[in-house]
Amino acid sequence: MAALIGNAARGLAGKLLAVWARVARRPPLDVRENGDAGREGLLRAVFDTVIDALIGIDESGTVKVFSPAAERMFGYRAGEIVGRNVSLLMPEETARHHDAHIARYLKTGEARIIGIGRTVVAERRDGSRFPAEIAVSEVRSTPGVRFAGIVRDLTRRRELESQLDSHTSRLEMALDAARLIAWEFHPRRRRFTIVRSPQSFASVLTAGAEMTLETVRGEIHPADRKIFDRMLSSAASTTDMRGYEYRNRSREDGYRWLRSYIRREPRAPGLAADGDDNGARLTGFTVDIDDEKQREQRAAGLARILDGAASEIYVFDSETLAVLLVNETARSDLRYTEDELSKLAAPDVFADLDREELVARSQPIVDGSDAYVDFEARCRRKDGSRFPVRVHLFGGVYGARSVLVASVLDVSAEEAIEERLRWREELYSLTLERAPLGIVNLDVDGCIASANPAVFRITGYRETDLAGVTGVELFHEEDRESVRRMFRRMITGRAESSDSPHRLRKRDGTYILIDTHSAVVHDSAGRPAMVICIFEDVTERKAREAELEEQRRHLAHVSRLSTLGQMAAGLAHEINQPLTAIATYAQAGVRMLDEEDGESRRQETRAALTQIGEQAHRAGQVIRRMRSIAKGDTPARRKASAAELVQDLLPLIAIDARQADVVVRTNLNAGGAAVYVDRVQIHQVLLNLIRNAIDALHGQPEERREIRIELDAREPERLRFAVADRGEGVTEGAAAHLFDPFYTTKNTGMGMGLAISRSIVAAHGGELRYRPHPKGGSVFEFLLPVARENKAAAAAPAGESL
Amino acid sequence: MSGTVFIVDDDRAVRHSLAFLMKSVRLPHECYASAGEFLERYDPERPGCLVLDIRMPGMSGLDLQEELNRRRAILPVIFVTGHGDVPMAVDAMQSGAVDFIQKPFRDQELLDRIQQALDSDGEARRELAETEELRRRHAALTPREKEVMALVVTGKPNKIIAWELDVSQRTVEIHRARVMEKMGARSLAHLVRMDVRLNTSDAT
Repeated sequence: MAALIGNAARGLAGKLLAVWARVARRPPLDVRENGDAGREGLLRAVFDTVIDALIGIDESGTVKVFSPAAERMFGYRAGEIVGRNVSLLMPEETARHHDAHIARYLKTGEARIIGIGRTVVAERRDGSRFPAEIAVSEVRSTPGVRFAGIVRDLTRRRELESQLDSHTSRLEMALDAARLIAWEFHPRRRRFTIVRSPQSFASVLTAGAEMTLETVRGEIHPADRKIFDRMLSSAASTTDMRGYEYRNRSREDGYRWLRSYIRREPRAPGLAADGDDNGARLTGFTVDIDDEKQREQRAAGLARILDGAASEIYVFDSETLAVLLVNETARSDLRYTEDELSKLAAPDVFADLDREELVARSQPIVDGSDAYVDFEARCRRKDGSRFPVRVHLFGGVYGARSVLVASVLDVSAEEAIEERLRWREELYSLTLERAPLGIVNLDVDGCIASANPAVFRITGYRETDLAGVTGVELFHEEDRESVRRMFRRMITGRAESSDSPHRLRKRDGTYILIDTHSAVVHDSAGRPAMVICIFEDVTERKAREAELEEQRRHLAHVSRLSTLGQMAAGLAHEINQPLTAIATYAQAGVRMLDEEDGESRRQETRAALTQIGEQAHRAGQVIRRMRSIAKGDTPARRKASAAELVQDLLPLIAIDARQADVVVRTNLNAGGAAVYVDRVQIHQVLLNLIRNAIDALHGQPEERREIRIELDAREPERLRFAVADRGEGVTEGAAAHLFDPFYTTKNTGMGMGLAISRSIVAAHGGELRYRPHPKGGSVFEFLLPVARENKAAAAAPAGESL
Repeated sequence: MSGTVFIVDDDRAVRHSLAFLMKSVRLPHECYASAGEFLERYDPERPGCLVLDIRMPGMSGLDLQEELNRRRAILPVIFVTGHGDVPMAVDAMQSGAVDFIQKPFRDQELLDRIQQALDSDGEARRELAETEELRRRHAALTPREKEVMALVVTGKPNKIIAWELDVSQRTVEIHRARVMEKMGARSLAHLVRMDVRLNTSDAT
């Protein structure tokens, strides 16, 4: 622009004035008739329409020419201004000096404006002022005109300039706000030049600062350096701008995310390659996107959290109720694909709520009267199955839409738990109501807090009878102390539960025997809060048990008698022997006395009599032993030496053994250990096992006809009794039934021996077992607990609990 | 009488009381606690009788009896049995036991049986000794004398014997006289009895 004005100032104004002066005096039609005149006409037209004003003045400053553009610019008609001083067109302060300027020029020839042009302030007819550029030239061709000026109104330009200024500053501010760094990269020199740096970076990167590639690259996160390298290499081959994101070391805290755009600067056409740059300059700028990135990552993280959330999250359009978004949980719970879900609406998801219902539900949110609503519903899966959910519904905005967000929690597990809880409560109350067992709750003081119907049925008491009564009072006087002790132990936390039989007084004053099972109920702090006591009337059962025990005892007795019967021959022999000796001694003694020399036979007779006494005693012993086996219907447990138990039996066994030609060996390694037993019963077991063993050896070769009776303490606190024979042994099939009642492999016998033996051993806290002898034959063994020192005093004798 | 009472019983008291009884009537006796012990020491030449308990561990009374039979021992056996052993005693009797007596017994009863047994043993041994003598005498005859004796005891006259043996009647007479003399026969009837005894003892 300045260049154009300059050109005008150098002469164009004068030429234009000359042309204009000529054409101005002719009518327009003439222009068409004559070539010259035609060209001038065109020029005239141009003058009429150009925006620059043309003004000619004479030496006195009087206006001679005033073009139409000038008329428009200044607001004067040409007729009004021609013939008057040009200073009319200037503000007061400039106008005063104009004539003096012309006079000085005409006198000195020193130009201040002519051929130079300058920006001045002009004044319109209405007095308003405007900036104007003016180019003045001296005119000699046109008579009466000394100077010509072309004036251009700068108002619009000034406006534009000011607009540009504000644009520029706004752009700068935007660039600053964007923390944008503009730079150039010179591949050859491997250097970066900072073109511009935002205010915030100014202290670090001043415009024009140069950095080597290595420095810049070194600031980049090692993992992202490849991205940076790719950016530089790809930029060399394209002019498209692409963004590359990488992390750059930050002054403050580690790394910040940056995004750089780079492109090859297109070579200006016709511009000569100037050495160093060689046209391969890359330009780029870099934006700090760390905040954006973090927002992005937060959003991604949020999305992941939503997806990972245990509850289903649905976003519905608040008007159409269409599904806009769902999280992963919702997808997997409903078993729809994302695609299928996008075609659904809220009524499809909530099986038991139709559109109307849902709209009604969400109304408080939509009209803003409530921030959220909670309700329970059932969700429908793709396969049609349903599950109970709890819904938390609230409003929100998604894009331009207002939406409803539903946070939905599957409560089937909770419902199942509730159902179970309800069921259990019902079961519990049913149990309380219907149980044949008495159930009583005692508070910490032992008072009856509650009782179930069975309690009243069993005891005959009424509810009012038991109110405020301590449980202990209901027991037999003799049992109260032990009940009280037991209760105290439980309520003080020294015992968790207790099982024991006691006598309970009924309302009619009679007593029943009850088995009680008690347990402590703790409060949330773990302190005993209540004792729940369950009892059963076992009076009849105990009586039955006693009867059964009596029968068992009787059976054992019968079995013993049967054993004795089988042993009768042997026993008779055993008694016959001493009797024979006695008879013989006695008769021989009489003979001795009849001899004449009685004196010499005196010693012999005395010996015979001594023998008679001894043999009579021997016979008596046999009978006593037999009796001890035969009676035994008053059982009593006492402490007994285990070894003696076996040894007592040996003489009795010896009879059978001798008759069967069997050797009996004993190996009694129990030391002085004692067991707490009913001697007769254990004798019966041992006798039974040994007689079985003798029978088993029938027909065996002599070297196998041996029985071993062993007693040892292989296990701590327990003594093992074993009877081993080397007979045929027991077949596997028979072994399974050995202890069954009435099972026998013998031609004689009831098949009760082992069954009774086993029940006797069991009653003593042991178990009778069979195992094959490793060398062929059978081993029967049982373990009995070793009697403790005070056992006899502490424990009640078996079968005497009633 | 020089027979010995052999007592075999595993029961010491019974054994000793029996010994005491033998002593009281001055019978020679020996005691054994088992059948095996007795067999080990027993000399079949010794006369006497056996008082044997039927039931004993190891070799029983019946086993011992069988063993004695096998050894051709002629010792008479008195079984002493308990009440329940009667069937066994029957077996024993069939095997040749002299007697059995049930415990406890009257002393006289046992002593009588022992006496009988000892007598029968003496008798048997005497007979056995006589048979042995006859056999010895018979063995001392010449073959021709044995032929003549075999024919004489059939009651054939000398004339027939001479004819059958194809010798003279005189020769038969001489042989006959020598047979009578060597055998110690007092009469033809005596010789015939001797011959019968020889033949029956051969048969057993």
